[in-house]
Amino acid sequence: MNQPANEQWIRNYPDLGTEQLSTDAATSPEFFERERDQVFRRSWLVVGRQQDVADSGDWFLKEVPSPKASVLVMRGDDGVIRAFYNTCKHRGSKLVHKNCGSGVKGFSCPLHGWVYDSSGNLAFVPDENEFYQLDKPALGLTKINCEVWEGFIFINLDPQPQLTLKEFLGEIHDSYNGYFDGLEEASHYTVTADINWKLLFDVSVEAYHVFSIHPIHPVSDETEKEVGKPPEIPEIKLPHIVLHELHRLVTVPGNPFRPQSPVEQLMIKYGVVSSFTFPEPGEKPADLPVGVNPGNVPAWSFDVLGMFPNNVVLTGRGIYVTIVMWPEAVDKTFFDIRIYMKPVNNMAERICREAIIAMTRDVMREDFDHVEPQQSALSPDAIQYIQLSDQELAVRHGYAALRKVMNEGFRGELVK
Amino acid sequence: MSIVNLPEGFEDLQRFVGKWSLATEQERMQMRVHSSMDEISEFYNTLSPRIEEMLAHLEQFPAQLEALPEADQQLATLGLSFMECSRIFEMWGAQDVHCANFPPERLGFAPTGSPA
Repeated sequence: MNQPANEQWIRNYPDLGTEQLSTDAATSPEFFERERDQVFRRSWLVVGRQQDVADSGDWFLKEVPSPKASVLVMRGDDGVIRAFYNTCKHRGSKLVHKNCGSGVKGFSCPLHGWVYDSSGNLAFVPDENEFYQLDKPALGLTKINCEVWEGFIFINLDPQPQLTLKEFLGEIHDSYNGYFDGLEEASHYTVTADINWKLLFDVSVEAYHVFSIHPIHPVSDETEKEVGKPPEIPEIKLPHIVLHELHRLVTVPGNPFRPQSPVEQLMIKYGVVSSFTFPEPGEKPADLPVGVNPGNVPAWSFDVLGMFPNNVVLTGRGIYVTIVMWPEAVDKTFFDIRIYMKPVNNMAERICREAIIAMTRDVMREDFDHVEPQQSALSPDAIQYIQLSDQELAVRHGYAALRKVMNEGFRGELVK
Repeated sequence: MSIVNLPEGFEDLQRFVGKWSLATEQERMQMRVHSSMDEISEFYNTLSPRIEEMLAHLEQFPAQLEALPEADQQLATLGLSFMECSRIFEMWGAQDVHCANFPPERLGFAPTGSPA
């Protein structure tokens, strides 16, 4: 349901309350430890896409910083994607030291040569008869719960997850229906920043910052003569907000009627279009699944799907971006950022695609420009509470979902 | 890669090869943000009327740079650099966004398809 004029989104979600929120969540080491133990140790977390382990014997390591876990993700000979702790069961040595690989039958521990097959079973022990009672079937690599949804590989470090992945995903589980298939990873970035992980998450699920952080830059007279005035960006108000149990989504509109530059006309000619650059003017086309542009918003550019706890997915047409936030400390975070786009058929299309990549990367860097100064200013002496507008309701929901899980577990009630 | 002559018909762009024919996205971004506006203007304004012909020529090749003959690879990476510069130059007449607190070097580039 779209928001009627002059009404606020909070009316749809009165349980969220309107109070100011404590800054503890971004500054308190005690809060961070609880978050690590109650949320990150128990949540389903995205570590990659199934195409990262496309064939049997393909594998990669994910070093989860907090709680610390070296996670080996591997597609076995049987085609199943599994996750294990990267720890040899002989004397606890680190089994794999590289980042990724392909076509392996298994792994041999560098310390004493214990061998595990591609399904994690202990396959061979050198000088096995020197051991006393070796229960080899019980000495496979320690498994980590691992499931795939719409191509995303999730792990859960809780040996007995409170929710199945399907329960965890809730209403979004059946809403994407192949949307993420068929796009390829076009660019992949990493950032380590001295911020609490939520600062970048929060700025991603509101558009109130767009005027300030993504402005039209002043154009010199000379440039204006050469390339014309910049197009005007209308004031951005979120036309649609959906708050699920754990996850949240906001829709970001664009201006489909702005004049196209000669380069953009070339991009259209070669069929390299994304709704990031070319918002869709009319009604939602029938080929988009229910989860994408769920409000059927005209002039739709993209949605921001905020997946609990640490994954922001920007879903457009012909493009999606994932930003996964891995907290290292209360004020330090590692970001894994990937742009997925429609595969290109030739070098001309490949070149056109680069314009969309550069724009997406620049906008993202503008967001990063502001978060470290924000973290450094967030001292408890200076500010104890933050104020959130109705346009920032998805930010408020993020904190409510976090508190719910921290206080009551994944099956608890939303807490104001 | 050593500099070779661009394919026939694109000789007029040869002078940009040394600076702008760069194989990786990271190199192209770094070149953009560390170039003067004069350098970017000259590059953009010279390639702008030629980019359509460049694409028409490069359409015959697959999308992987390493699959192209050296001369065409250099033309392709010129095209990629042009696209790297195009939007920010067309819209903002600038070489970079505001990033005083987050300099371009802070962005890490990982190989696609790799874990991070």
